[in-house]
Amino acid sequence: MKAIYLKEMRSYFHSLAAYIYFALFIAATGVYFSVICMSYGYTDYAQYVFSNSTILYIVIVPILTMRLFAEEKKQRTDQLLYTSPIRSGSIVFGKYLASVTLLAISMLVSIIEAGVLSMFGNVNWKTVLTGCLGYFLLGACLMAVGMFVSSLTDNQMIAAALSFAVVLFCMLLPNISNVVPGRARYTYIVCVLAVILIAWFFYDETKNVKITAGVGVAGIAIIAILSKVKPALFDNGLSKIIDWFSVLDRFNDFCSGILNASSIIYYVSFIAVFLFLTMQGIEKRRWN
Amino acid sequence: MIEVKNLVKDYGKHHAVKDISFSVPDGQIVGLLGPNGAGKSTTMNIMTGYISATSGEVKIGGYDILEQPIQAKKLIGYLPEIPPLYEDMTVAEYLNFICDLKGIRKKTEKESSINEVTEAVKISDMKGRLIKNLSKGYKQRVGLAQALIGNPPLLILDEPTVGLDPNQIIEIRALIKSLGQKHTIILSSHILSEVNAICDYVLIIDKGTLVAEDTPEHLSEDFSDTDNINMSVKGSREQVEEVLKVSEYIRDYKIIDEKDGIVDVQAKTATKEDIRDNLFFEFAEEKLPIIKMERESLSLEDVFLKLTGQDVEEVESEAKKASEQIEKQGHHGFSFKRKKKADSKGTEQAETAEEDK
Repeated sequence: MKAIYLKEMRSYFHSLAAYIYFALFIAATGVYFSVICMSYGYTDYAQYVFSNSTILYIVIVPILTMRLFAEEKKQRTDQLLYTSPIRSGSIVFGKYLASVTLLAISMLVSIIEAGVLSMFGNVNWKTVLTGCLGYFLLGACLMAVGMFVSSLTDNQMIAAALSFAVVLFCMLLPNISNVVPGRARYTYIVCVLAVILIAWFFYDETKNVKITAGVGVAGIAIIAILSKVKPALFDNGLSKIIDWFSVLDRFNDFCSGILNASSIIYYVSFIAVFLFLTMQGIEKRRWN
Repeated sequence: MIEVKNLVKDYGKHHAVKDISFSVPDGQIVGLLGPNGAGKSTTMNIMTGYISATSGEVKIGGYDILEQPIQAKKLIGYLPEIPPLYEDMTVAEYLNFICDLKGIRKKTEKESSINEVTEAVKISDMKGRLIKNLSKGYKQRVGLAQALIGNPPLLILDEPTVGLDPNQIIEIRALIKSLGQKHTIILSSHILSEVNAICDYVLIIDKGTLVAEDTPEHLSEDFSDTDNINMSVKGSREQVEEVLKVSEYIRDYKIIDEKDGIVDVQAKTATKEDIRDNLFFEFAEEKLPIIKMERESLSLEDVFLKLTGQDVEEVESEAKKASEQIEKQGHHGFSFKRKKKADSKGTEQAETAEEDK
């Protein structure tokens, strides 16, 4: 894992990626910092700088993650990695740690900015630190998604465009959740569609009609039982489902200085799921 | 060292590898021979754990490549068809990374390992160069160096000499041959002379199946039911033909040349036995001195073409047709260019005529 980690770090700093990232991050946070904090004199760093610059991830995530796996595939160096005596888990983890390290380094910049601010006024360090943690965890989640996207293709541009779209979608999710219809029957429709989709996925993978039918029937049965036992679950169900995936919602707690264990666990498990998916993607490639 | 059992690999409906089994003992150099698309690279990719077989098993040094991948992969040095190089690294950085990957941690160990390997493939003076600036031959060598790092007992080399110039090919072949003293080597190739020159044992693969395996010498012998005898006889054409016609040892013959009272003949023997003694006496009876005589077995090339279902003459005539086609096109292209030039500037005509020569 260390070998992969060091190699990725090296390649970040040998290519422009790391420098573009730092430049973007410092420019964006710097603008908010100098305008809101320094000029207008607000000391609530987390609330003003971090909340406003989450939009930065739409650009940062593709820059840092697009090449992680796509380039290996393109250059055929994946053949080297997968035939070396190291586990695919170490490869995924090493690469992920490298991308997250850059994120962590940029958090130091924020702490320095907050330090400068503290010379002129009262900075609430607790909110700054929780804000840092939240901003970092949010980024780490999106990086995991970006890395997963990169493992799907051998074209960096496609990886970048896809992860741009995915991160943008994540950013817009809170707004989407506000406008989806709340009536229960829409929830049913979406759930049934999801079951059909899952069943189709099973059919595509196994080409076995029995398994497909089994999955479909089981899914519909679960929906039917739930609708009888706990109908309340389906009221406003769509926005509930969307909120599960809304990484941005939980971030706001951190900015107001609330360190919520459930949010941290949410982020960590979100990351774990995508690292797992990336690993599975790599393993699956061998069988195709 | 390697045991491959009933290996099958399907890509959807396409069967890339169909039920291949073989084993390679320690210390042998084995050639995997086959036309393009026969399944050589697929087999190698499965053996190294890059892709998985649809069914069948591969054991490297007793370790199953699927169940104990780490132990098995530790024994392998693999040079894929396209050397897996990070273009933005220098050779030294790259090899350093490979050491890390293969679990060589100590600095002194790393250094000695890198020095050893770079000397073996003769890239010591390229260590500081960026890989992307290296020529194809050097890239191939860096790829080979990568496989050699950590001194793995088994080397799997996928077309190691492809894209090299003739000098380099000879060098790399010699290197592989010398490596064969300490390592077990599997190499794939579609160049027959290469396999003939380097390998102790040959596996011939065609359309995903193993069609033959043996030493190169045995293969040549087993698949030929006749030998060729090339000889030069002092005498006239008629005299020589008379002897050959009545000889029971000769099935067929061809007069190749007749010059200064010496006739060159290529004869096909009726059986597989060495009949040179008998021929000598037959010609001696007629007082026709044999100046030169040699026996020639079927070449590996012939065996290969035979096994892969191609006919030597067919292939040759096809190749001839293709080259004629190219020549024709080339000629058209040139005459067109010439006309154009002649039209625009009469004075340039002399120049183009020179080019023509």
